[in-house]
Amino acid sequence: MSQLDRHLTTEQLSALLDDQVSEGEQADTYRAHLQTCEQCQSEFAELRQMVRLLQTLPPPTLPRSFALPANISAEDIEPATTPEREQEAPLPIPLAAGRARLQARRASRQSRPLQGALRMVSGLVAVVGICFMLSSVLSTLSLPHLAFTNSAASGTSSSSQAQPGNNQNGAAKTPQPGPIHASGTRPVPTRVSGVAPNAKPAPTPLQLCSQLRQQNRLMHLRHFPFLIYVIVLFG
Amino acid sequence: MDKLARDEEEKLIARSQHGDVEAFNQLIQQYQQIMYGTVFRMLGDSDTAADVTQDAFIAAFKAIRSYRGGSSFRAWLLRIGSNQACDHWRRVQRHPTSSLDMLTNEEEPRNFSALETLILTGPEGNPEEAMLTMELQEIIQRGLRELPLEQRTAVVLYDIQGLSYEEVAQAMETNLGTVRSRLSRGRARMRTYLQQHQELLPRNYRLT
Repeated sequence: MSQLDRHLTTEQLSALLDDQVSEGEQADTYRAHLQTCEQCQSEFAELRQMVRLLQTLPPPTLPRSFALPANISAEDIEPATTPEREQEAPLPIPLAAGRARLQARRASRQSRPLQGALRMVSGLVAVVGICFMLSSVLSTLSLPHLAFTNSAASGTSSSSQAQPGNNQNGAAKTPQPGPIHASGTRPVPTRVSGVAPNAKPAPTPLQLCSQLRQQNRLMHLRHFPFLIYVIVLFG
Repeated sequence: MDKLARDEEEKLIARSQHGDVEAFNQLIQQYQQIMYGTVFRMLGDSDTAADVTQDAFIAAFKAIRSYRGGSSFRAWLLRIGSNQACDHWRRVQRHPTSSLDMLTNEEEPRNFSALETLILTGPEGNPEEAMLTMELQEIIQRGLRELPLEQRTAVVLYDIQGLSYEEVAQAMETNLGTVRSRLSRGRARMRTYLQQHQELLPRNYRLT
């Protein structure tokens, strides 16, 4: 058995005290060193004394019973959360809870004017959005009853309803295929004017009509999340 | 208090997992001393410890379905208790103005003259040498408060509450090597603290 040429660390002494020297370590070597080294002996004795002191601490007197009230079961056990989640949840310690409530109240008081402004803006957005939606719905509904030539015109009317005074009004006056693009969700007048002359040698009217219907449907779908967003904001 | 037999405890746990408060209260009856003792030693104030202990039992009841048998139920409970105590301690540290003079106890230095006589006459005259005076307990309690939370938890669970290394590892959600290291560092700090208060320790507990 080889002797250690250095003193034992506190962790080694502490582990020796608990008989918890891991297998990789040489417990016997440590003990052999301890028998011969006065400095380590003294440190070991101090450590043992201190631990003995801690072990002899009497348990504190219970201030009360911590039994739970019988009615806690029904409402409280349902969530069946894990301990980790419990630790994240705010504790029902009166002081902490009171402080949290106070902070929440203060925060809500501070954000009140901001909330009002937000509500107004969202209301406006909602009105615009609903107008926009209605126009697109109307155009979709009108399609089946119109001939293919008129359907293009209905597309223009929808765009002009949605955004009066926009450049698209001008674009809508260009021949058929142009307004089809203009009635899409992205009002890009330059693109519209660029498309219109190219589209002059148009495909067959039947193709145009089916294209238009598809685009209208797609547009309708594109508006749907926007409508939901508007409704949520409005709420 | 009689110790519950293991199978009896398992039955109570199973019933508690089905929402039986009565069964859980029997478990509380069994473990409230060690739970309160742990929280008290970690926080150092009886009122706060009582609140945190109560919350810990409520949290344990809500979470008892997540307890899987086979491991130590005591360690599982003490994990919740020690975590709640740590959370509380950290919250107090973040908001030191709010109440916690009682926890930090930074008021004027106490007069230890009476204490010394108590210590010198106390344990030696007592047939139960283990009985420490209140004042001595307070010194130890202050020493514990000086420890970082992880070291404090390890020392409280192992040295004071007498859990095994495995149970401490389970309660602290770590491995044995980490427990060993936290324990040794916590002990070393405690020893330094007590050496600084050497004169207050009873003769048979004085560190050399």
